[in-house]
Amino acid sequence: MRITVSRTGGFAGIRPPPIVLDTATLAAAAKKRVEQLVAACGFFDLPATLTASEKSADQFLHHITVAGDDGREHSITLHADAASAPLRDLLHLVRGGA
Amino acid sequence: MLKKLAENGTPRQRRRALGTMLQSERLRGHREMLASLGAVSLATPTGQKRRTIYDAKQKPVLPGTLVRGEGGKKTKDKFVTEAYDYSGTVYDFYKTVFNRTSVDDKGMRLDSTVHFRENPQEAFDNAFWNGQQMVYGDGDGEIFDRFTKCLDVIGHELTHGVTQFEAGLVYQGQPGALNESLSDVFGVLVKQWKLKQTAAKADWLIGAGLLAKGVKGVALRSMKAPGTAYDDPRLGKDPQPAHMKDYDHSAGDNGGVHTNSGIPNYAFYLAATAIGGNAWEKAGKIWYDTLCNRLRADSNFAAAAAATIKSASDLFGAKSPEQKAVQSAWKQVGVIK
Repeated sequence: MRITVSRTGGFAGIRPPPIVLDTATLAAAAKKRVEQLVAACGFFDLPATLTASEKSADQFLHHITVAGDDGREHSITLHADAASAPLRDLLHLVRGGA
Repeated sequence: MLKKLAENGTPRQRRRALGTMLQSERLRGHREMLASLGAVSLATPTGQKRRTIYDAKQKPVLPGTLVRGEGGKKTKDKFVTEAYDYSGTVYDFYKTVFNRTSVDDKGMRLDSTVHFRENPQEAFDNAFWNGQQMVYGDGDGEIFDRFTKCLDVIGHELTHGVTQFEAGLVYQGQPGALNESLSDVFGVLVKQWKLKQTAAKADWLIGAGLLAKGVKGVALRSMKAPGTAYDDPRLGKDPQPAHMKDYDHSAGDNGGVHTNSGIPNYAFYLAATAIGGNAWEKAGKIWYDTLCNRLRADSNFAAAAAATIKSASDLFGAKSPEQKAVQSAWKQVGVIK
């Protein structure tokens, strides 16, 4: 499973390079944890956009793409405060280095 | 009179009159209730500055713990002091220059949260408006300093609130870039007003001092020369265009709202410097009138150009130097021919 996370928006409008995580490079426990989070947030069934408020401005926009080993691929864009707990954990885990 | 305005005035006059009527009704009800209880008037006078500062303690919680209310004692936390003082300056700017009473023009409380993090494990390099309040991160200290540091940044965030209650510009594509630009325009005007700087003397920078020591750059954006605020190995180069020919068509950032804002930002700078004097007095008045009375949620750059030109004409006269300056500014950035 390959997960790509990038960020746009925010007051400064800076676009740091994407972070790519390939679970094949992870130790078994970490790989399992990532896969559990992807399953727990129902990633492949999430809507393309998850925003907390249409009235918000300058919030970071996070873009997450998950490419499964089975060929499935799905991309979403979200505000962190609109994410479920497992989705937020997944985002932070990839951003922090799994 | 109020009823008449509510029925026949411009949309803004209608809303104001209706708001005043509703407020009077509410106060009347309140007073009656208090009278019935035999209490003295405890009602907070409306139309006054009310600031509240909260501390999120490096967590993704809003609003967080209350640390200072209006008139409350100064704390040792400079983040709290800056959020309190600068939001007060922004309030004073809108009240003094445009006779606007807070974000909603009805005395809305100004709530700010400092020390916020989206992720407790990661420094938060951002400030935002969540539809109800301002939120500030500490910055990582390596690239970004604290986001409460600059008066114009706080003016920028509060103006997102003003835009929400006025034109309601959607945060996507050109309307989104206009929304961003209006926040930069009034953010920079608050700073110029506070410093008593003329358009010619001002630096026209957004977030000057926000970049940490060692970062190659002077600010986050330049309205005077979009695309020149920074050029640093870690940050990249300031991507803002100053002309329609360089419009950012990429999908991220809601369609480049923080990049394409460079185009209307530069138009405002050109108009304000051509008009001369204090930018908040004439150019600012035209843009404020446009924001409150002439833009819709889906207005694009061309609509903003037409609206500001019409506003300049109505306020200062057709073919006045002000109207010509605004028209020329939008031509120079390639929005109109």
